[in-house]
Amino acid sequence: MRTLSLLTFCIALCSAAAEPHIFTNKDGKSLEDTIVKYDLEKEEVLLENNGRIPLNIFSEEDQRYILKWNQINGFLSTMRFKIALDRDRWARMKQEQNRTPVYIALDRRPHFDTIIHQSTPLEEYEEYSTIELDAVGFSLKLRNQNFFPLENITVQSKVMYEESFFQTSDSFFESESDLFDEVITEQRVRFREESISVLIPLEEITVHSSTAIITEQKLDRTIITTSEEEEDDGGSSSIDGFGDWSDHNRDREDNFIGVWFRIGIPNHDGQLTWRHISYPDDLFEELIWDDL
Amino acid sequence: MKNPKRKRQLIGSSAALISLIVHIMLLSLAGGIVALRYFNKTPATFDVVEQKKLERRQLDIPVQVEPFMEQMSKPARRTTSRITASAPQMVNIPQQGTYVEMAPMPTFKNSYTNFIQTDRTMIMKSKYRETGYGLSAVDFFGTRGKAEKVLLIVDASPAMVSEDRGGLYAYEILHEELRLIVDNFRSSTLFNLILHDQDHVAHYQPALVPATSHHKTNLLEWVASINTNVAQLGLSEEDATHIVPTGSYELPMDHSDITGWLKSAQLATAMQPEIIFFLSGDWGSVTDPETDLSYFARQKKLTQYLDQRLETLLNDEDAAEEWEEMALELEELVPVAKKMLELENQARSDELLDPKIMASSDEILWENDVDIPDWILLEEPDEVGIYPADTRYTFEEIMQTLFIFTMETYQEKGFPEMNFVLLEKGGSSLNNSAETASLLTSTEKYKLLTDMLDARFRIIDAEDPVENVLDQNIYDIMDILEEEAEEKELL
Repeated sequence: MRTLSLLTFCIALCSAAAEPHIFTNKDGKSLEDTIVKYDLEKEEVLLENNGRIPLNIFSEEDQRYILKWNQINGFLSTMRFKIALDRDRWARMKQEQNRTPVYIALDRRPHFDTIIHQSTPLEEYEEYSTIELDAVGFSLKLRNQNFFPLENITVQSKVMYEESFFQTSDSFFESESDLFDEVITEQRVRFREESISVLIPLEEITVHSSTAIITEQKLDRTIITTSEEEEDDGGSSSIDGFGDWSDHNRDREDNFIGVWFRIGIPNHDGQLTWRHISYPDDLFEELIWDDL
Repeated sequence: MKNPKRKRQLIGSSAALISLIVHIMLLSLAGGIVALRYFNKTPATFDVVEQKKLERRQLDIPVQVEPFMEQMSKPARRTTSRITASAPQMVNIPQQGTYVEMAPMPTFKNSYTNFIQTDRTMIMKSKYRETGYGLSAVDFFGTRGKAEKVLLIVDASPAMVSEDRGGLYAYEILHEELRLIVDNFRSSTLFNLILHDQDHVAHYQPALVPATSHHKTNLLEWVASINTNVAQLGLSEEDATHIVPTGSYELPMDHSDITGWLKSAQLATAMQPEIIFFLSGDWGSVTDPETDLSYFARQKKLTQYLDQRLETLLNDEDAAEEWEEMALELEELVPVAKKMLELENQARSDELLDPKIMASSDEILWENDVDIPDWILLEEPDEVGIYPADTRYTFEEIMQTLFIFTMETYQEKGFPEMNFVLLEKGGSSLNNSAETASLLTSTEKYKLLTDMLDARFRIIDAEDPVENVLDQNIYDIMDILEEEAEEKELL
């Protein structure tokens, strides 16, 4: 399937590059033909039916067309314009600890309008809490191995990931309604665009995607005994309505989907001709850019 | 047939003779042709072109040429009767962003071919780093760091000059410290200062500026005007900037709930400094002066919760009666608190002291041991419909918010260095193990944050707390209030 779509893609590219064009020379005479090759050193164009013709014979507009055709040809060549993708982690924050769970009640003091708090820590117990934040990003290396510069390159990228978050706050009481460990997932697409005015021969530059923030969070309260057990043990610091402690566990994990880079160069009409690269490799074949 | 053998011999010898004659003729012909060609060819002649004599080029600058040996034997005379000094060379100080335009250096990295490696987005690892150009060593209240782009974020809220932190004197000392920090910046270091007071955030300049003497003086003058007058503490609406960048990434916090140091950090990321130093008084937007509990509140939810809680209380007849009694008692305490403050300020004025700075309007009551009625706890907290936990953000949500908005801006440059300094309150009860373990106080939260960021955290001791001049008694104050009321009636 992948080979087939790649083949289709190549055919589409070749057919786009091999369109016949009406050329005009400086005397106003015209002919319709297709460019096969442009020789940069000899400044000669090889046409499919008319053979080799020096560049300076063509009208100025056609000279521009030929040079642009040559640029696009060089841009589309995987050997002469190389692109490579690298995955990276740009930043990371991680924290895990055992904490004393606490219930904080609050009220507003009438006439003074001050907020007062009363915190009730469950000093005998501990809960395990952890959070890990990762900034995942991609770098794209562009290397021009043509003997001519590539101009006005546009690099666009879309990073895709699923972000999850808890449906309810970290409340002891909420657990009774079974929503405590419920997670809502939303898909995020981060777009980034960069322009490269010129890429000279043998130049290599690195451009980057947007970052995907991947979070992993976990709260484990299984080590807390239930209020019933506490009562059996003669404890008195329990707060009613906590429900079953096992319902207090929650965890969420974001899911990285992938990244899609497309690199474009304008043709003689100003329309961009694209090359694609993605992680995973077949991502750009399965999705539609504009639908993301 | 006479003799056939003899006949065969004659034929063979005549054929050989003919062949020999033909060969001789052919050889003579070839030899003749070669001889004719050779003798007809004219002999080779060489054109001798007369070489032009090279003239010695006149030197643009005339120099005295000395024989080599003479130079060797005679040391150059360097003594002079005049005291001279070589003129200093002009140094081009690069402008901000100049390095981006610098030509890429060719390297042979990972390749046999001479490919040019250029990272056009590279800002943090500027080329000047290798020469230490613009690099300043900063000692921010004991926390040290080195960078070219430095941002200072200082809490300017009235809490920084609270009585338990030493009042206005605390900010005077802080200002002096800032002067030392700023004076030590190299002129090519880019810097800026952001002040924050809850919702209000103000920057010295909208972008990082070179630490020239002009900017240093202006910045210090600006800071010197803040928190010097009890009647006008904190940042005013005029000082505050209304442009705080908001990115496209979804944050766990509402934009309006991002306040204080967190809002400053958001503004700071747009300036892209390499190192940020924070000096704060408290962690969140709500800090309980009695318990030191500090958190970022979900303001809308908090107001909603408090209203609904009161409504729930008043729906219960017994609780409503109790609440009304409490409210009545508190109402009577309002004029008492005002009178106490008035008398205290009078006494301070007599002793040429600054007026009292109060963290909350009821502070003076509990400082003078006035019995404040206890609040009424709900028997069924879930009846309110909103849980207290919904009114505040968790520590993890704050972390995530900071991480997201920072990385959205910094991207491939990575997380900048952030260092935190907390101005301690005098006489804080930080040794409460339960509060520490539950991560309730500002100190614990900053400590954990710096651990996560692999940054530095430092607590600076507060000045001695300002003690009240008067030790007031509620009954005396009530008597004074009664007398005043009677006098008014008589008038």
